[in-house]
Amino acid sequence: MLNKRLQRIGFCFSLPTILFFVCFISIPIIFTLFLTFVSWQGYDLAQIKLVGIKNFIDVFTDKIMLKSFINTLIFVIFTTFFLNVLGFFGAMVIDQKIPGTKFLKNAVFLPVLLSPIIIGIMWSRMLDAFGILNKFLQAIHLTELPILFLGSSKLAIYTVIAATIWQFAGYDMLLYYAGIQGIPGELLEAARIDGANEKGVIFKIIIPVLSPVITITLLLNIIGGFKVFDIVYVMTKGGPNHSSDVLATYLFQQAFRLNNMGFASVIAFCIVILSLIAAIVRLNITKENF
Amino acid sequence: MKKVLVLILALIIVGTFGIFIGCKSTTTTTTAVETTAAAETTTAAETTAAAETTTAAEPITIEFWSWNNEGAYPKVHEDAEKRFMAKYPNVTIKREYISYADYLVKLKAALSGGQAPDIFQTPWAGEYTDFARSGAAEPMTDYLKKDFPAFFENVMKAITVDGQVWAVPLDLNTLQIAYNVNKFKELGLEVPKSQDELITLAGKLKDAGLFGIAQGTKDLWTGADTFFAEIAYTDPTHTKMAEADEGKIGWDDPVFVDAIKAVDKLIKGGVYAPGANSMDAFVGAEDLFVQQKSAMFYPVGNFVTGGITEKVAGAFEYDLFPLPPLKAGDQALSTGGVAEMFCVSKNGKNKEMALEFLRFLTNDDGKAILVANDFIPSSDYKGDMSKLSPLYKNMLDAQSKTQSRVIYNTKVYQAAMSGMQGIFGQELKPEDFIKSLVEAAKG
Repeated sequence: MLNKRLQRIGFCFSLPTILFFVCFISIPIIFTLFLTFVSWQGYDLAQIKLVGIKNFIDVFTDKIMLKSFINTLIFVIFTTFFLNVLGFFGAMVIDQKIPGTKFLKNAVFLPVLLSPIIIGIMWSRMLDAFGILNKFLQAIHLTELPILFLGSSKLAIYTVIAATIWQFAGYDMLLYYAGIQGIPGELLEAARIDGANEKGVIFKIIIPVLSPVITITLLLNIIGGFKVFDIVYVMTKGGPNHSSDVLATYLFQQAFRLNNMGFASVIAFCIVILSLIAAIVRLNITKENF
Repeated sequence: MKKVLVLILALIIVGTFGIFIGCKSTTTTTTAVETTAAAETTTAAETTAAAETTTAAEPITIEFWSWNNEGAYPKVHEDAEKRFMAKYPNVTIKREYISYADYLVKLKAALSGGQAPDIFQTPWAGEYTDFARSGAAEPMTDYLKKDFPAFFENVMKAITVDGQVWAVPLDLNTLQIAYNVNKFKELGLEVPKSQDELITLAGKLKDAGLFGIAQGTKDLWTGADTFFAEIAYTDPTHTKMAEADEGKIGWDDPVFVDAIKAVDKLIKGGVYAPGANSMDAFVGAEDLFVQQKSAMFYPVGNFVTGGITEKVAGAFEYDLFPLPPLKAGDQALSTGGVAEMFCVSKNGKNKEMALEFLRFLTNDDGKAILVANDFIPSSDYKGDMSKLSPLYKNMLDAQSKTQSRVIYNTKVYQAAMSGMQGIFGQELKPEDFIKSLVEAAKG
C-alpha cells in the first residue's frame, strides 16, 4: 500500500519532466521521423504530401550530401585526434609544478568559455586575406600573395578544424588533468623506483590508468564533431562552393534556404543515428570500465 | 510533512496544466478573432473602414520584422511609425531587425508555429515564390487597389506569382560599382567604358598599390549578381533569364555561357580584390573600400549608400557606375529590382492595421522620406526633385536602364550562388558552373 503511494508520489514528481520530455524531445523526434517521408516547405501543415522513401533516395544520391558527410568525417577525425593529443600533453604540462602552469591552465581553458560564434568571427577576421596572420606572413616574406585560409576550397574545412581545436583543447586538457590528479602518487613513484623512465611512466602507467577518461573524451569529441554547426556557419557558411559544408550546415541550407524539410529531416536523422551509435558505444564502454 | 509534499505537488501539476490550458485558450481566442477578422476583411474597402474603427479601440501591437538595419532603412520605417502612431495612438509598431543570416530561420519558425509577425519583409528570388505559395502571406492584389499608390507596372509584374501580388513593394534598387573619385582623379583614371578597359584600369590600380573591386562572396548572393550583371549584356533581348527560370530554355544557352566566361575573364584579369570568398558582402568588402585599400566596391545601391556615406565621413568622394558593357560604345546597364517589400501575415491578428501601416510607409510622405534618404520609391514621386544629390540622380538614371536580377527557381539560384564562389576562387570552370545550373534546373 505504502509502496503504491510512494510510486504515485514519485510519478507525480516526475510528471513535469516527463511532460517536458514528451513535448520538447519525443514529439519533435517523432515529427522529424515523419517528415523524412513527406514533401513539405515548412510553412503550412496542410501542404504536407507523403512521398515515401523519395527523400532517402535523394539524400543518398546527392553529391553535396556526400561531400558534407566526408567533411563531417574529416572534422570528427582531425578534431578528435588533435584535441586528445593536445589535451593530454597539455594536462601533463600543467601537472608539473613549475612556475607559469597555473596561468597556462587558465589561458588554455579560456576559449572554452566563449561562444563558437565569437570564436568564429574572431578567427574569420584574423585569417581573411587582409587579416593579421596574412599581414604577418607577408611581413616576414613567407608569402607574397595572401593565403586564402577561408576562401580556398582546399583549406576552408581545415581552417575551421584548427579554430575548433584552438577553442576546445582546453576542455580536453582539463578532463585529462582531472584524471591525472586521480592517479595515486605512490604508483608513479613505485614505477620510477623500479627503473621506469618518463616515457615508460606515461605509456605504461598514466595512459592505461586514464583509459576511462580517454574513452569518455574521445566519444564526447566524436559526438560533438558530428553535430558541429555554429563555427562552420560563421567562418565559411559551408563555402566556398560547399567545400566546407558539414551535415548540419547542409541540413540548414536544405531546411531554411531551399525549404526542403523532408530532405533536411533525413539529414537530421543521419546525424542522430551517427551520434546515437557513438553514444551507445560510449555507454557500453563506460559500463565495462566502471 | 507528506501532506505538505502532496500539496506542493498538486500545485505544480495544476500549474503545469494551467500553462498548457492557458496556451490553448489563447490560441483558441486568437483563432476566433482571426476567423472573425478574416470574415470581416473580404474587401479592401471594408479593411480601411475597420482600420478607422480601430482608432478608438484598445491597445494594439503590430509586429514588424525586417533584416534591413543597414543604411537608412530604419529611418524610413521610424518616420512611417511616427506618422502612423500620431493618427492611431492606440497602435504600437514593434519593429524588430534580425540579421539576414537568421531572418528566414526565425520567420519560418514563427510562421509554422502560428506566431507570425503582422508584417514581414520578404526576400526576392526563390524565397518570395515560396512565401507566396506557402499560404503564410495574405494575397495583396485587391488591397493594393485601395488607398495604396499606383506602383510601377514592371514592379507589379515582377512580384506577381500565380496571378496574385503577395507583397507591398517599398522601393527599388540598382546594383552598381562604387568608385573612389579622389583616387581615380589622383591616378588620372576614368570610368571604364568596356570590360577590357576595366581590366586595364585594375592593372593601373594594382601598380598604385590599390585593389580593384572589393566584393565579398562569402554571403553568396553578390556572386550571383555578378553573373546576372553579365547576362544583361550577353542577352540583348533581356528575356532569356526569365525563360530559363521558367524552364522554357536551358541554362546552357550561349547567353549564359558567354556571361560566365565574361566573369571569369574579369577575375583572371585581376579586377577583384583577393579573398572574395572569405569576405562578407558588406562588412569585409565595404571596409576595404572605406579604408581606401580598394578603389571600387560592388554591389552598391541605395540599400547601402547611406551606410557608406556615414563610414566614409567625407574622407573621400565616391560615385557609382554600372558594370561596363562588353564592348566600348554599348550602353551601360545596371541590374536591379524591388528592394524592400513586405508581406502581411495571412493569419495575423491585426491585418487591417498592418495594411494601414504599409499605406503610411508607401504614401506621399513615405515617398518623400525615401527620396530624402536616397531610396527610389516603387511608385511615381511628384515631390521636389531639385535638391536631389548627384549620387541619387545617378541611381535614378541607372534605374531607368535596370535589368532583372531575379530568378525564382530556388535550386538554380542556390546553385548559381555557390557556383560563383567556385568561379571567384578560380576552382570551378565556367562549363562546370553551367552544368551545375542545368542539373539544378532538373530538380
